[in-house]
Parts: sequence; C-alpha cells; structure tokens
Amino acid sequence: MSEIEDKIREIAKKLLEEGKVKYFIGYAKGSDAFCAKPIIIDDPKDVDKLIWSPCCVNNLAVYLVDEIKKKPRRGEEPDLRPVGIIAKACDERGITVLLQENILPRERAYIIGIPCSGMAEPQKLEKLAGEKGISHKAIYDMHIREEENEFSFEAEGVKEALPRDEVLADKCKECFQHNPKECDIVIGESVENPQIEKYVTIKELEDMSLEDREKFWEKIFERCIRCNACKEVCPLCYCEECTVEKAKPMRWCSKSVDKSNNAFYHLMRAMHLVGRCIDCGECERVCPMGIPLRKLYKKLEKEAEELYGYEAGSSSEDVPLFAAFTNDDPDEFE
Amino acid sequence: MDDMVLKKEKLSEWSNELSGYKLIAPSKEDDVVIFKETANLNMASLDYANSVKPPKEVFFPQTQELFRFEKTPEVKVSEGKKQTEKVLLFGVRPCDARSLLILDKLFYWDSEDPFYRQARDNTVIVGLACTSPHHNCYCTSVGGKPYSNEGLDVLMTDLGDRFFVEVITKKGEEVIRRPNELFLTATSEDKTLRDEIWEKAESEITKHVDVEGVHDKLGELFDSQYWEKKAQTCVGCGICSFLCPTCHCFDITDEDCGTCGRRIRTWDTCMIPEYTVHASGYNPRPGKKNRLKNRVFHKFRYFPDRFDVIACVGCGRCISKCPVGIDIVETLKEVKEQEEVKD
Amino acid sequence: MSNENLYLPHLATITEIREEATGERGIKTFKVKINDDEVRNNFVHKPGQCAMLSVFGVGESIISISSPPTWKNFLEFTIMRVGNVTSALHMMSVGDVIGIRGPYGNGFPMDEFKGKNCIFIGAGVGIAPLRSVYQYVLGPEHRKEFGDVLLIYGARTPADLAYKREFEEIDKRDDVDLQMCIDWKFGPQGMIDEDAAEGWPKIKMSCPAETEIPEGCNHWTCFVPQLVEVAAPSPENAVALTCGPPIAIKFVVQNLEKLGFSDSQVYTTLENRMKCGIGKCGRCNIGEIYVCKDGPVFSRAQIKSMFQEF
Repeated sequence: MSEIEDKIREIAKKLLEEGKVKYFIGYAKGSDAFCAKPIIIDDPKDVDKLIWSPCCVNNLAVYLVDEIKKKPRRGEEPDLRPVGIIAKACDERGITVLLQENILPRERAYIIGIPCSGMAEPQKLEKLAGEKGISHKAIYDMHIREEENEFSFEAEGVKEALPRDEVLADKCKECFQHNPKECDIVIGESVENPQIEKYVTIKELEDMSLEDREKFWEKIFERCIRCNACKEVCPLCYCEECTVEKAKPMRWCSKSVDKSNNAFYHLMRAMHLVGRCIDCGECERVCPMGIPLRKLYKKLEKEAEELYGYEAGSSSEDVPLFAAFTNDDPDEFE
Repeated sequence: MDDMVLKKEKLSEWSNELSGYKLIAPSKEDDVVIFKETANLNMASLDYANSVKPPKEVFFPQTQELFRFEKTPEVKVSEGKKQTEKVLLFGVRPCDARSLLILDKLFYWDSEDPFYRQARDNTVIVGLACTSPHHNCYCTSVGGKPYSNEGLDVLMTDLGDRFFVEVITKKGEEVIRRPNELFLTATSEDKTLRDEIWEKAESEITKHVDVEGVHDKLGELFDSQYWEKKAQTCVGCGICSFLCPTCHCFDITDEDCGTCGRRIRTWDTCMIPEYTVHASGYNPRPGKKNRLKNRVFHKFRYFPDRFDVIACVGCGRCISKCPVGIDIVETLKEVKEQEEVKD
Repeated sequence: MSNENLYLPHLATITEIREEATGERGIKTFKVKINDDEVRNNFVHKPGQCAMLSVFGVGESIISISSPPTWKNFLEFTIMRVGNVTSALHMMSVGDVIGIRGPYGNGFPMDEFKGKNCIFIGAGVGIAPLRSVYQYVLGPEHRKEFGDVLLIYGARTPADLAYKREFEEIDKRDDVDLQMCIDWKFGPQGMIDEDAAEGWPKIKMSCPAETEIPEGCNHWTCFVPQLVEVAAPSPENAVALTCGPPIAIKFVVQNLEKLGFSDSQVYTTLENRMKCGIGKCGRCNIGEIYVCKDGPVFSRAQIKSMFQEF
C-alpha cells in the first residue's frame, strides 16, 4: 500500500512541477481514520498530503465534471491543461462514460489508474472498531492498511487483522472488473478479476411479488429527505439543471417530501442512469438515510446487459446505449 | 420535585398512562435511527449515539402545508386543520434539545411563526442523556454537555436496568406527576451512579475546538482565499443543512393541481446555487466557496450577532455524514490559524 | 395574535393594468384592490415598503409597492417580467384575483427627510420603489414638508420609460426639476457618438459637466450616473435616494460622492431573493442583516458596513 502511496506522490509532484497538469485530484487523510477525503492540490509542496489506503472509496470523477463546467472569467484565457486524477477501476469506468458521452475531452484528464481489489466501507470499519473497544481518541490516529490482500488496523499499539469479508464495501464484493483501462499511467500490479455471481444484491427483490416489491420501495422512499447527495456525488449526473429542480415553466417534481414525490425523484434518476451507471456505489454510500440505491441501479444494469448485451463504461469506443440502434434490438420490456 | 427512577420494564406502563399524547421516539429501520410515532415507548430504540435526522422535524417538519387554495370557480384560500394534538417526544439527546432554544430565537423574533409555536407548545420533551457519545460529538465545545437539561422538560439517564428521572419544567410535571408506584424516589446510590455515567460520557467527548475568537477571526477572513480551497471538494448536497438540528432555512412553493392546490414550505439548504439566485439570473453567492463560507459564517458569526448564541450544538452529524469529509471542527481550527486578509 | 397564519395572503383584485414597456422583459403596472374592506383599510404602508404577491399555483414574489400611502383604497405595483411569478402576473387580466401579504420591510425614513431637498435617482425598473416616495413628497398632503425636488430617471430607450403620462404631468409642475435620459447606443466600436433618439440630445461622454444645455431641455442621451453629474445637485441640506441595477447604483453613488454627498445622505434599496418576507426563511441575509426586515432601504453608510455579498 505505502508503495502505491509513494508512487502517487512522486507522480503528482512531477506532473505539478512540470506544469503538465492544472491540478491533481487525489485522497487525503480524513478527520477520522475511517474516511479518506478527496483533496485537490495545485502546489507540488502539498503532495505529501496525498494518501492511499483501503478507505479511498470516493469516486473522484465527479470533480472532472466540475472542471469541465468551469467558465473562465471574462477576458481570461482558459487553462485547458489536463487535470491529474486517481482512478480505481470503478472510477475509471465513470470517466469512460464521460468520454463516451462527449462530456469530457480525453486530453483534459491525466488518469492515474490503480488496480484495486476492494475498498473498506467506513460504517463497517466504525462498527468493528467499536466492537474491539477502540477509544475515540485512538480513532483519529488509527492506521488502516492493506498488506498482501489483508486489511488490518493499528491503534494504541495494537495491530489487528480485519476479516476482509466483514469490512469490504458491498459494491466491491460485486465488482468483476478490478483493473482500470483508460489510463495514462497505471500504478501497482494488475489484479486478477474474480469469478463472481453477478446481481446477487437484487436476487431477493427479484424473487418478491410485484406488490411486495412496491411495498419495499415505498417504505424506503418514504425515508428519503431529498438532500440530493446521491445526485451530487454521481459523476454521471451532470445536467446543468436537473428535472427535480427545474421550475420553469412548471415544476415537474414537488418539493414536498413524501412517498410519491420521492419515488418520482429516484425513479427519474434511475431511468436517466440506465446503461450509464457504473456501480461505483457512491449514491448508496453517501445516503444518510440508508436507502439501498444500488439495488435500483443494479436491476437496470442487468436489464441493459440482458436486453442489449451492454456494459456501461467498458470502453470509450463504445457508442452509448441510448445512442445506438440496431435492427436486432428487442422492442419490448418483459 | 424529587429525582426519581423508572424501571425500564415499566416504560410500557408509563406509555399507557400517556393516553392523551402522541408518542414519538427513536426507532431503528435498517440501521437508520429516526424519530417516529410509536404505540408504546417500550418499542423505542435505545442503543443509538444519536438519530440520523434530528428531532427538529417534530416542530419544523420538512414539508409543512401553509394553506390550501381553490382557483375555480373563484379564488379561495383556506387554512388546513390545526395540529392540536399533544405530543410526547422521547429520547431527545441534550444537544438536540439545546438546538430548539436556538430555533426558538429565530422562529419567535419579531413575529412568531404560528406552526412552530403550536408544535412547541403542544410537545413535552423527554431527553435521554448521552451515555456513549459518538467520536464526532463536540457539544462541550459549543456550550453543551452530554447531560445538559437545557430545552428539556424531563431528563432521563440510562442506568442500565432503570432510568434516572429529573423533571425540569412544569410541562414535565404534566407527564410525571409525582413519585408513585411507577416513578420511585431516587436513592443516593442512584444519584452516584448517574454522576459516574455523566462523567464517563463527558470524558469520552474528545473532539474539541475552542470557539473563543472564531467570531472575530471570521470577520477578518471574509475575503480570504481559504474558502475557495476549503470548498473545492464540496459537492453541494444538502446533507449538512438537512441533518443540522439548528439549520432552519426553508423554501415556499405552490403545488398546483389545476383547479386547486396548496402552498407548502420545505426545508432548504444554502449549499445550492438556487437558494440565492435572483429571478434575473444574478446570484450574490455564485460559487461553492461563497456558500460554504456562508454556512460557517451563519453559524458562528451572523447568528450570534443577531441572536447572541452560536447556531451549532456540536451534534457532529454534518461531520459524520458529509460525503467528502468536510469537518466543521477542523474548519474552525483552520480558521483560527489563518492570517487576516486586508484589502 | 400569536396564532395568526402569517403566510396566508389576503385576496386582492386587479382593477387596472398599464403597459409601461414592451419587449422581452416588459414592464406593467398593476392597480390592485384588496377585497376585504377591513383588511384594505388596515393595510397601511410606508414609502419604500414591499408586499408579497401571490399567483396561486405559481408562487409568491416580493415586489415593492410603487404607489404612495397617500393614495387610498388601492395599491400599485410596477413589475418587470423576469421570473415565474412575474411572468404569470403579466399574463393576468383586469378582474383576476391575486394574493397579497405585507407590507414588509422598513421603508424610507420619511421623518428624517422632512425639511430637506430630495433628489431621486432611478434607473430602469428601479424607478418603481422610488415612485412611492416621490409621489408621497409631491402629493398635496406632504409637499410643504420637503424642500426642492430633483427627479432623475433613465431607461434604455424611450419605449422603456415607465409612467410616461405621469412624468408629463410632473414636468408641468414648477416645484420639481425633472431630468430624464435614455442610454447611449452601442456600436461595434463602443458607444456611438450621436443622439439616441430625436429630441434627446447627447451629453458629452468625455466630460458630461461641460455639455451645453439647450434652453428648457431636460431629455438626454446618456447614462443615469452622467446625468447626475450634469444636474449636479448640491449636497447641502439634501438627501439622495437611488434605485436601479447594481452597476448604475455603483456609479451614481460615486458621482454623488464627487458632488460632496456624505454616506449618510445617500439611500438605496437592496433586493435579494426572499421567500417569507418576515425574517424566517433565511435566504435574504447579508451578514446578520435580514433584507426583508432590516431593509430593503439602507443608507450608504449602512451598506458600507456590511459584508459585501449582494
């Protein structure tokens, strides 16, 4: 792990010193040990703030959209140099969709790919730390590492191995593509992709009756507080004005927070992510109300695969699902 | 009134005595603790550091109908039914109770907000002292304590198999009249145990910032580059505002069903550009840096200037739930270290 | 009364609509009568105050009241079509019912202005809030309480000038000095060096104060701040009230400063997005100031002491 960290710093330093990138997007230590936080640095002196740990869950591709949307000040020459960005395989797939959809010109990003066999979920780490009786004070200085495919944490002089299965983020358990492809440079050895059963997360739901499924989602959507975090962290929710905010000439979605409007919001988002969602799991991770959004998007991912043999973000050469048409396309939903 | 104890198994009996009240208590759904109406307090979830959503929504619901209107055959407006039901809100943490005193200042200054007032008047708040605070809690930095009774009508402390019960206000006396077969007079041992638990809880709060001087320092940093750097990674969602027990901004919109409709007010967040944009398209807070700065300034400078109290109770929700790890305590510490910006 | 629903508007009927300016951002003046007699009689406003207008089903918008309190039984609002609510208002007809609540805000401190010379400087639709003041000052009830009146008003083109007939009347009075202007035209090389329209002679761009003033002329081609320079009011025992787009205000204020006006002699109104109008919803804040309660009228001195975020 620390080898990767050193390499990240080295590359970032070089890129910034040579002025090859405008700035560098990576991870820094969060205020507690469970979360690494995104950081944007433009000074080579700051590269030591960059880290790599099993807590680097955020999908940083969302900041590329920020960069593309930036408007230069009047009279100012736009700085079109690329932005350095660290990308795990799932993040890279997000960037690939941005490339496919012509949102991001390829030359605007310098992609540092890191093969990844899974990240830890902050909530799970926190729970484990609690069970092991780690004091609050220690939480801040705790080190969480991955060495030879094993997670461990070290706090108050005690080092403890963490059962991989218990801390791995759910999305990582279902990840079948560990190696980023669309990269300018790759750090670390490539990892073997696992043979996993796809779509286990939605199996239980699929087996439910339509009525039960409706009840399931109704109960869950009722909890939503419409903080829009799911849409704001999504690198593919890049519309200038979202349907839910659009008020001119009429409001499509009421600001009233209730079952029906919340369902409208989530289903609208889901529909706009068919064949685009790359399962980085950010929406589900950030949801304060514990809404299992991945279950929604995973189902649509499955539909896209089964109906059209389409896998989102697998190649920047692919025509996006909704931009492609062949005579063989199935014309009805089951 | 004397301090009392209530055996945990008697919660159910006490609930039955409270037949005139709608009971709202913390409930756990898929690991998410929120305040919900419950038939009996024995169903309340008690193993929580704090609820994800603060109980402010009992007084300031996320969606509040202001009135209804008809457009045809002629325009008419009508007020909805008044909420007159009495509520007992159980399990409120001391930080969230203090937040209500802060919200009172805003909702009562100049003119009283009728909806908030009604809900406040009709609700008895039974607090539960913190026995194991979360590592992001920092109430002691902003004037709170894990066992503070400010804003509470009754304060309970979990002693294991029983609650230590202190009635704070007249309103509290309405729900716990006197020591009786349910509420037994507390012994000196009970009191000692309570003190130990309080002390332990307080010692577990390790997140700390000295807010002395933050107000003035912010004034010097209005034009600082710091805010741009700090806000770079903010994604502009509403988590920090919606989960904040003292954030109170709202939007007012119409729901139109063609011939009739209603006007509602809903929680809003100053972290989105739509919040301040003028109809002309001009926006006085156009960037993330302006908005993040405004939130910090509002809590630690504007609100204290106006209402003499910091608009933060140190619940730590915004820290725990921020998608990108922006930590208000860290921010305040950094603010204190920044150098003044002069024009 | 604590239980009164502060958000419930009173019903009011539009009794007259006057088209002031056409175009994409057209301006119309709405004459509105509150339906309930008692409410109407109790609705007493100060010059410069605002009201929340509702179009049911569309929403609410805060609008300054552009008629003076001395005009009884009705209120007037001069509204530019910019957002959802104002667009909906522009589609309405005489007889339609809207909602109104208020009056809100502080209004101009008329008592402090008594005995003083009053200078009104309005640019574009910014004339609307000023109208409630100058019509108050010029009305027979209060004219004697104030000194000389100078009224400066400019818009982009002659077609954009509001209250045309009213200004013709004011122009006939000898107790008020009216000066109006329309904008310099822009060409590809910058401003075109000619009169913008017939009957509107150009003020010298390079040095406005040196412009030769034809006898009796008070219609000009220039921007409002330059007209201030030409009219050159004396700061002695005077107050200046200005309202308009931020850029116009900025230069008007600069020119007033040059003429010797102190910060406490200059008043302006601020606008900010508002939802409640009663100091609760939070969005109109500038620092600890709530524009809806503490404003919208501020002296230049007050504005200077604020965090510059508006």
